[in-house]
Amino acid sequence: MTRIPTPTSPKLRIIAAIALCAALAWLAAIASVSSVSLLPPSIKPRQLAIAGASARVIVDYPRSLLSDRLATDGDYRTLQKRAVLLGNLMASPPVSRLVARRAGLRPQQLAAKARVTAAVQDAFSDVVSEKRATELREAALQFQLEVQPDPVVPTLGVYGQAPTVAEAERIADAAVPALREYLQSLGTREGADPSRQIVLEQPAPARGAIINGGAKGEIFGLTFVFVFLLGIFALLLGGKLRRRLAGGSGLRAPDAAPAGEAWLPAGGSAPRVRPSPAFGPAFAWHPLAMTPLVAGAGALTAPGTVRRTADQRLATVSRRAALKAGDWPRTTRVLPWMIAGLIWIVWLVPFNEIQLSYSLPIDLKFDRLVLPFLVATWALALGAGGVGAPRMRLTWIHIGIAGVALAYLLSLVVGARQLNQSLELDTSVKQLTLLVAYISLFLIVASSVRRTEVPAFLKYTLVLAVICALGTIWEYRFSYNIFYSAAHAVLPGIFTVGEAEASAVDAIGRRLVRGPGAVPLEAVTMLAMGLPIAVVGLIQSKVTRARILYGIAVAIILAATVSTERKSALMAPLSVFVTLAYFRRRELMRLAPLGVVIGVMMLALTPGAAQSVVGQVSGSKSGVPTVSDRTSDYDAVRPDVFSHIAFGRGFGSFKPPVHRVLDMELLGTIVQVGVFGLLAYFFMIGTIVAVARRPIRERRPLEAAAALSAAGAAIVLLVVSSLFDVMSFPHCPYIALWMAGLLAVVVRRDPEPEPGAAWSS
Amino acid sequence: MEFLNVFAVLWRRRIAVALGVPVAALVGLLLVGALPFGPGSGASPGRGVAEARVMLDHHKPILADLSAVSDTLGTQAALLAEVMAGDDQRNVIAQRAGVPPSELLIHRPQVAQLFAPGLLAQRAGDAVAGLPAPSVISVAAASPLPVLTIDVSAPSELTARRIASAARDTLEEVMATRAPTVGRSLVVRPLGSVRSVAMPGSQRSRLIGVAGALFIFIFWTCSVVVLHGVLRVWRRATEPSGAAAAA
Repeated sequence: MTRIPTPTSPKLRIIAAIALCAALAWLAAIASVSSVSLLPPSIKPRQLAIAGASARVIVDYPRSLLSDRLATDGDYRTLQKRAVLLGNLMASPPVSRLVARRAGLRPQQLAAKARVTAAVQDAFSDVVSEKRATELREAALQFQLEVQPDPVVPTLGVYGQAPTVAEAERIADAAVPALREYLQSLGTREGADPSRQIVLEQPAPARGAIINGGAKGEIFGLTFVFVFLLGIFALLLGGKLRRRLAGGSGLRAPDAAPAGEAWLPAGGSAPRVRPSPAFGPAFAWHPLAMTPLVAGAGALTAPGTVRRTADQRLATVSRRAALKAGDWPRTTRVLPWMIAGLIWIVWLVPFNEIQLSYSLPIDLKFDRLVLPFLVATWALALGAGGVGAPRMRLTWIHIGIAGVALAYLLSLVVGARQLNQSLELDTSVKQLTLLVAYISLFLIVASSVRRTEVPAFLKYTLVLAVICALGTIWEYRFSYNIFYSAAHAVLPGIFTVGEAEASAVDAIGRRLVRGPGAVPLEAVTMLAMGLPIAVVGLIQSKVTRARILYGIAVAIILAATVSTERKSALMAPLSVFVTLAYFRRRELMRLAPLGVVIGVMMLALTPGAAQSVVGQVSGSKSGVPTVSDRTSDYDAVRPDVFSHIAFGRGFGSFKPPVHRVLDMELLGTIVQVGVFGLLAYFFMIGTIVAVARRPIRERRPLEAAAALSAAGAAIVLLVVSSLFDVMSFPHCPYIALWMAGLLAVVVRRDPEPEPGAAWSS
Repeated sequence: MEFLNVFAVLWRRRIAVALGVPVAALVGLLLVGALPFGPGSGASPGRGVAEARVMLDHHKPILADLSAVSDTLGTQAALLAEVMAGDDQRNVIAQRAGVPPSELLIHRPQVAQLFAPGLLAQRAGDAVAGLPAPSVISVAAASPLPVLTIDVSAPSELTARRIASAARDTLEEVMATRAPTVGRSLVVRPLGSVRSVAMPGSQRSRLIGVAGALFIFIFWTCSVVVLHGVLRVWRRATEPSGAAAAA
């Protein structure tokens, strides 16, 4: 008999809550692409379409050089320089006013700019704060004129931007007549011979088209997704807090298993379920719940006594397989192996420099080709349920990461119209795929890895870190990058692998030792994140052999870090030791004599590297470009920061080559996602450390090792965020979130087995 | 091991899975064009492509005269490609080839990679390059070599060949008319004859149909499993006892 939902039934409440979230999201999305007025009530679509038009201009002498065999290279060099001058003149106020008049606009409606197209030093092309402030003011204008002189031949590219194609074409077409008019009037005023003036030839009228097709859908979709997710997140969090206030479970792991959870006894018999009066039937919580197996079907609990259906037989087979699955690496479960494979890629493959050779709408880097298979398998396992299915458990780390995702999404929603106007919305939306990839890895790890698998995964991570370190040392010693070479050798031709010139040096003479990363700082961060596992192993191990092995691992990782010859090679490992010293002062002090041995080993492995690093931190080296570039960033981004102080200009919108390179993640974060996003970023790192504190304090070996390692990695992430744009180099966030995922596993609210019982996922 | 659970769910939901078979088959048939509607129904007509290569040279070939100053020929070839994109040249080529000027489009490829490509320049360039036309000419300079390549795409091979020949003749004419004097002019030398080929209309491969059907079927079965999970969560969340506990 069908049960009719009563007004207070949970079914109705859930439907109402989801419907409310969807309705609110829909209204917000409508408002984002329309102008909504209450008095009088009206909805008008916003002007979001942007058209662009382009025209080419040839700069020539009155007696054309085009078909003159006596023209010299000097003639063309002179002409090309004159073209650059004319291009800049075209974008100057006197001429842009004429352009505006000819295009039927008021002068203050048109923004004009000429780009630096010559191959000059970054110092000349980087935008300083005063110029950036002007750019920001003009970027809001609907009508734009952009001139790009060609760096080789005497031609100009003239581009118009306007809400309609006709207007954009009018602007581009008005540029040449306006410049001619200006030059003529100048010549007349100065008494110049008109026949000796430069000739501007526009072979064809400007052609235009809509250049932001799909922007309306993107803005609508972003707003809808953000508001809907925010609503769902608020409901989930509210429910959790309400239950906690009501004396139920909170966000921390209880000491005992909650009633109603299933656990598996050793020996592989059927899962036993603690009856729970509160949660009703046991299957309410167990993944096998929907099968008659655990739901009390006597047919399965007493095989042979009742005729079983094919469904039940298949369920029995899958349950038995789950019981025998075991822990990674002695498991038949696919997910842990896939996770291990992905982590292997993260540590040892330069995946961000590997790309499919095909042109696709999104940048398909190697990790984003592999990750979907892991996500699909995880989704299937989650959907199918069963004994080995992933289990989602909310921790504060989840909340921290969700906060970052929402804050970053909010910055896009708030800045979407402005980003659309500056044609940067697509770039930002593409960056979301990277954010989704990071979050996916964390969610999969936190829900799929078993608590008893964490030690094995930590050891595995350490082994990978040591291999990575050995490869990096090899690169330092023999100028041969084994990671890139192996990728070149192994991957088929459909992939394009970047180059790593291992013997190259940077502007201040330091070797470019990068390991599997794209830059040396990325390798430093990766290794520093692996370092706490080795140090914690050294602290916790009681066996001499294990201590020696962990000590060797520490020495190799430290040696590899300094082999990059970066100042950060001191800062990042130092942050690890400070973090561990905060939690394990006495144990670390006891290892001081061993530290001397490790130091000697480190110096022997990478001769000269440590001296190079120490030499760079002396006061006399503080004026090198790598330092001055970073300090100049502070002034350059002031206009961007203060114009979007709360929510930033939009996640992923401040990227080279359009914008300057910001060598500091925190600066990039505040520019792109504002103070709100920066706080969310700090909160995320803070939640990892905060969640780690309790297991560290309780000193249970399994939990404490994972917690100390994750806390160390989180602090490394925080420290390097002030040294370079760490989130732009995916190896680092992947490793940080991998460690955070393992921490979430050890603190999640899984039921604990009774004495003598084996926990099954 | 996880896949055993997945197969168990698929077996339990076998009717839903079976429904995916006709859907996948339908998509496969649509892709191979076996049905009178859908993406594969419209037959894609064939096209003709043609290519002509020319070299900018002095009256006395620079290859035969070591004393000839040829530093600027590459730049002049690049500028010639720009001039060829003009409306006047398009009209002349169209007239010579016997096609309406409105059906002919001449692309202006970027001569050099810009150092600081602005988003407006990139987008406007890409959007304009993608404008459709029955016949398209692309004149590209192989800078710094004094070589120009004329690529033509047209509805038929003959038309493409005619347009390529007309474009080559127009190039010669432009060089002649722009010369300060006859003696100082450059000449356009063809590098071989116009080459052309007829491109057959896209034929829908059966393999694409099978691959498409397989993809849809896998997607369908995955959706069945995920929906099964959603249903399970939904039932669990809406159990009155569970709700009471949650409250």
